[in-house]
Amino acid sequence: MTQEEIYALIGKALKGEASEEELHRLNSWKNSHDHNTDIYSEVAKLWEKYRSMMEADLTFDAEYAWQAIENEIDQVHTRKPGWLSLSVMKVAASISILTLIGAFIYQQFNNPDLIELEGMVGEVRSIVLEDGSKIWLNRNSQLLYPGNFGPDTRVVHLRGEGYFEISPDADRPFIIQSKYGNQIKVVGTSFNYQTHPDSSIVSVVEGVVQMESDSKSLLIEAGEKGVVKQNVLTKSAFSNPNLLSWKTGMLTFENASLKSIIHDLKRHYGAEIQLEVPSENCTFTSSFNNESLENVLDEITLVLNLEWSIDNDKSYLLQGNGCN
Amino acid sequence: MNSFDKEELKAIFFENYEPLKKKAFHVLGNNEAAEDVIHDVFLKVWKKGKSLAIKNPKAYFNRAVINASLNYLEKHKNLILFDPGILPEGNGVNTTDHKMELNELEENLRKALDQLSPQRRTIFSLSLFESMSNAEIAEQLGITKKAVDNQLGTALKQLRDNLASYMKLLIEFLPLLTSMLFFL
Repeated sequence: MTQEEIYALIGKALKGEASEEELHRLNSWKNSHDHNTDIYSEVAKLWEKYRSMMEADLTFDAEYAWQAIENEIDQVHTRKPGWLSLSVMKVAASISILTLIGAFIYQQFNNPDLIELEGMVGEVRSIVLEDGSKIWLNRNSQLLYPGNFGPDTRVVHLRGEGYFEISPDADRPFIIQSKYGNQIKVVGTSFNYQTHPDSSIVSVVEGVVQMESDSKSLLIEAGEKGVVKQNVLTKSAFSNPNLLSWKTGMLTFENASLKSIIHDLKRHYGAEIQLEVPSENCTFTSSFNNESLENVLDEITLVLNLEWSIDNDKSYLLQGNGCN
Repeated sequence: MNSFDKEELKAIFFENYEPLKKKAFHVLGNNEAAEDVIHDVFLKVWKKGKSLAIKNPKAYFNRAVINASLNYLEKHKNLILFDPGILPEGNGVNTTDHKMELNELEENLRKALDQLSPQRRTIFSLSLFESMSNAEIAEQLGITKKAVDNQLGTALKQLRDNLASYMKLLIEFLPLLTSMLFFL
């Protein structure tokens, strides 16, 4: 057994989660050397010590905590909603149905029943929903989802980009509403979904996704991407091998043009990268697995005979005459 | 404007405050930060004004508080974690040497915990204090159970490695001190 496995096993044993077979393995490891017995009892001691120590630190004061909440509630409560006069509301109501849809979606983003997951700067987060569907959320993105789905549909709300692996459930279609107004509907499939204020893009890896704009709906199949831009829905084949790099950490370039490389790097690292070269058409082939942007730039500039630098605003610059 | 009244939110608050405070505290290791998180979660629900529609408040708030605590960690990277604040005075040991050694041990235990990555520490804390199973933790954090198994193991290894020089004290000295406390 590796050190990792042993400690994982000790953890399970301390929690009472180890199976009979695992306990057996742990015991024979313990008995194989005095030193091992010591390790086990040291970890067990730490476990107990932490428990007693931390419990003593924890304080409760429900009355005080509630008072602080109540004070703020009362402040919020006494503010009258007089800022929306009747005439303003009439005008607002007559503007267009689109606004209403927008307002509905806005409201969903303020619905307290929904739990909020936010992709952090520099960190991809993932979550398993109640129905077993798994979602990876890209940096600077936001997902709102309910603790439990309703009986007829499974609805979540997305701002930014996510990768979805939806558990099949033909009776309850899974609907993803973009904060910006589009929605897609699926039954059970895997796909990447990017939402932007002016467009949204679905790239389907497995299964079928139904994508809707105001006027039509299209079925997007595996290997295809659907794009809604200015309310026009189109589909085409998708071929970018780095579509999911933000999730996998893997970047692959095969005879890729400098232009497309920069595009993928910007997306992958969420960084600002400028190009100052005579031509963007020279190509590069390599792959990177969870490398830092600096390492990737080192290799690209070495191969293409360019130079890179970084300014104070964390904006990268690639320049030189190597690419022409 | 709110479709539920304050009394209802108050009832939910008092019913769930202690378990929620525990959860937040065990993620953050800091009483004040934990209170902040709970405060914000409840106010957010109130301001959005629809808490009646929450089918299962207990589950909702549990999840919301753990998520909010993790977000809090992200936003407050300089937070002093596992700060004991003001500890109760005079816990009985007169022998100054022993007391000092005990204090030093505790200080180092806190430091070691602070050095774990947030996710590891959260997994360790939820395991130890909340008795949550690895499967439950996995669900809550949106990672696989296997990852939780491994992260907990790594946390234990890291704690033991970092505290290697205190192990002798922990093993031999502590029972003695504890029994002394008992008799004094």
